[in-house]
Amino acid sequence: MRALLRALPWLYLALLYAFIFLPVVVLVLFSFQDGRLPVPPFQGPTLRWYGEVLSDSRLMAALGNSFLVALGSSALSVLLGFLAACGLARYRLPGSALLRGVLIAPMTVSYLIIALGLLSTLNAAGLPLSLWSVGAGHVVINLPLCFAIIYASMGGHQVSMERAARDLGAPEWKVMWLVTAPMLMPALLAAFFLSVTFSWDEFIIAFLLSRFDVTLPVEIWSLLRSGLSPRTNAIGSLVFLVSVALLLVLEATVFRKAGRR
Amino acid sequence: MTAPVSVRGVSRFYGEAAALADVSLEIAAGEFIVLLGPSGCGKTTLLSILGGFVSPSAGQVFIGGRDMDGLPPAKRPTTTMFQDYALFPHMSLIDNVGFGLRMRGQPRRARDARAMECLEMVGLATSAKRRPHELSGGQRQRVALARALAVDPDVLLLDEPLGALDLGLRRQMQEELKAIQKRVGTTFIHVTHDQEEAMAIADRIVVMNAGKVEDFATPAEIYLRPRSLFSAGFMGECNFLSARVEGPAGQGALALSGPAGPLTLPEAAFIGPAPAPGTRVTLCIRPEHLGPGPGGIPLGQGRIERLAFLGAHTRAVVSGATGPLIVALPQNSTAREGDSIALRAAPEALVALPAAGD
Repeated sequence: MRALLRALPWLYLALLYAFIFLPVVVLVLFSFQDGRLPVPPFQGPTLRWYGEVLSDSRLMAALGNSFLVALGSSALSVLLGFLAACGLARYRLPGSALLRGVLIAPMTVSYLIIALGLLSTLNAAGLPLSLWSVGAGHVVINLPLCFAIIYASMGGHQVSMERAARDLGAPEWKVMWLVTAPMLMPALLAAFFLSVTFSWDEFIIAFLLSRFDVTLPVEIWSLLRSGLSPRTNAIGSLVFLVSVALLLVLEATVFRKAGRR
Repeated sequence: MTAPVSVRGVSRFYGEAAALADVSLEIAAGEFIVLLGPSGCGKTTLLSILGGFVSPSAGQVFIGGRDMDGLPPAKRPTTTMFQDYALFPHMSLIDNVGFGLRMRGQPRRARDARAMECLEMVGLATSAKRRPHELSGGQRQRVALARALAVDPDVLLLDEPLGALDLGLRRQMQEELKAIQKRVGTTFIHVTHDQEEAMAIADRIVVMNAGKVEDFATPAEIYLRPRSLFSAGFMGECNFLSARVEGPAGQGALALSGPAGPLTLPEAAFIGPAPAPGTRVTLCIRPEHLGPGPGGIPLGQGRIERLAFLGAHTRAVVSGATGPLIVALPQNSTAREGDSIALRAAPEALVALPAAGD
C-alpha cells in the first residue's frame, strides 16, 4: 500500500509527460520512416527525408527567412521594450499606469485579430506585404512580453549605480548602454530568446502578412496541403530541434546566472 | 584639484515641510568638512544639493566661485561616494575606477594608468581585475573612494560612507580617509550621524538639526564652546542646569542664581553678548568638568546612584538637589555607589547659553 502511494506521484508525472511529449516523439520517430507514409508500423530507420529536406531550396530559403524575422523582430522588441521600461521605471510620468496597461494590452488580443488589423492597415496605407510586414507583426506580439519581463526586473537597486554613473559624467544614453543594460542582461537575454522562440513558431501572422517570401511555418503548411509525408515530419523535427537548442541556450546563460546571484 | 564651496541661503521644501531652511556656509578649499546631525536633519539633502541630485527651492551654491544653478551632476566639479558604494557589478575594479575618465573621453591606456594609480592609493592595485562582488565591505568602500577621486574632482562628497562597516574597520577607514584627503588636497564634505567619527576626521564640523545649521566650527570649539543647546547635547554627554542672571558682579563677571545657590561666572562663559539681568540661561557642563574639586563653582552635594568603569574614566550618575548629573570620575577613583560627593564645576569650562524657548 505504501509502495503504491509512493509510486503514484511518479506515475502521474510519467503520464503527464507522456501526454505532453508523445506527439513530438511520434513526429520525430516517423521522420525516420523508410516508406511513403508517416504511419505505423515503423519501418526504417532512414535519413532519406532529412536529405531531401536539406536539399530543398525553397524550404531552406524559408528557414533562412524565419531566422531573419525571428532575430530581427526580437532584437527590435527587446530594444523598444527596454527603452519603454527605462522610461516608465525611472521617471514619474503622467498616466504611467495607463501607459503600462496599453503597452501590455496586445498580449490579450488574439494573433488572428492582430494579423487582420495589420493586414487592413497595410492595405489602406498601400504598403506591400513582405518579410518586413511579418517582422512588424512579430514586434507587435513580442513587445508587450519584452516590456513586461524587463520592467519587472528593473528594481530600485540599479538606481544608485545609475546615479553614480551620472555623477561621474555619463550622459543619459551612456548610463543606459553602459550601466543599466549590462546589469539587466539576464532579463534582456530572457526576453530576447523567448521572443525568438515565439516568432520562430508563429504561423497566423506570418501566413496573413507574407506574400512571396514566407517563413518556415507557412512553407510547412503549404507542404501539408499536399498530404502527409515523412518529409514534413523531418522538417517538424528540425524546427523542434532549433527550439530545444534555444531553450538550452537560455537555460545555460540566463537562468543559471540568475540563479547564482 | 580643490575649490572653495559657498552655500548662500539655501532652502529646500518638500511640500510644506522644509528639509533645509536658509542654510549658509563658507567652506575653504581643501577643508575636510563633516555635516553632523540626527537622521532627518537635512544633512543628506544638503549633500544632494551640492552634488546636483536635488535642486534647492531657494538660494545658491558656488563651487570655485562658479554658480552651480541648473548644472546636472555630470557637469559639476564634484563626485560622490555613495552610502551603498554603487559600484558597477558587471565591471572589474579597474573599469569601475576608470569609468569617470572614460566618460571624459580618455583613451584606455591613459585611464587604466590613472585607475591603477588610484587603486594603489587605496591599497587594492593587486585586485584590479576582480569584480566588486568578490570584495569585502571595506574593500568595496575603498574602490568607491578611488573611483570618485580618479576624475580629480574639486570637491568630494561622502554620503555616510562608513555607516555599513563594523567599528574597528570604521576607525581604520577614518584614518585612511583623513590621510588620503591630506594627500590629494581635495575639499571633502562628509555626512555622518556619528559624533565620534565627526571629531576624528573633521577640520570643521557643521552641526545640523531640523534643517538648520546649529553650529559650524572646529571639533574642539564645538565641544568646549557649543553655540546652541542642541549642539552641546549632540557632541557628547552634557549636563544642563538652568540659572537666572542677576546682574554684574564686577571685574567682567556676572552674578547668577543657580540651582544650588548663587554663583559668579566670567563674561567669557556666555556665548554672544552678556545677557541682561533677569534672563534665564542654561549652564552646560561636560561630565569631565564636574567633580569633587578642589576648587571650582560649588553645585551642592550629591549621592552616587550608579557607577560604570569606561576605561579612560568612570562614569557616575549623581543625584543631587539639581536632578541627576553625569560626572566623569578619574580612572583611579575609589568612590562607590551610595557615597556622597561634593560637586564642583570648573569655571573656565562652563558655558552659559540662552535657555530653551528664548
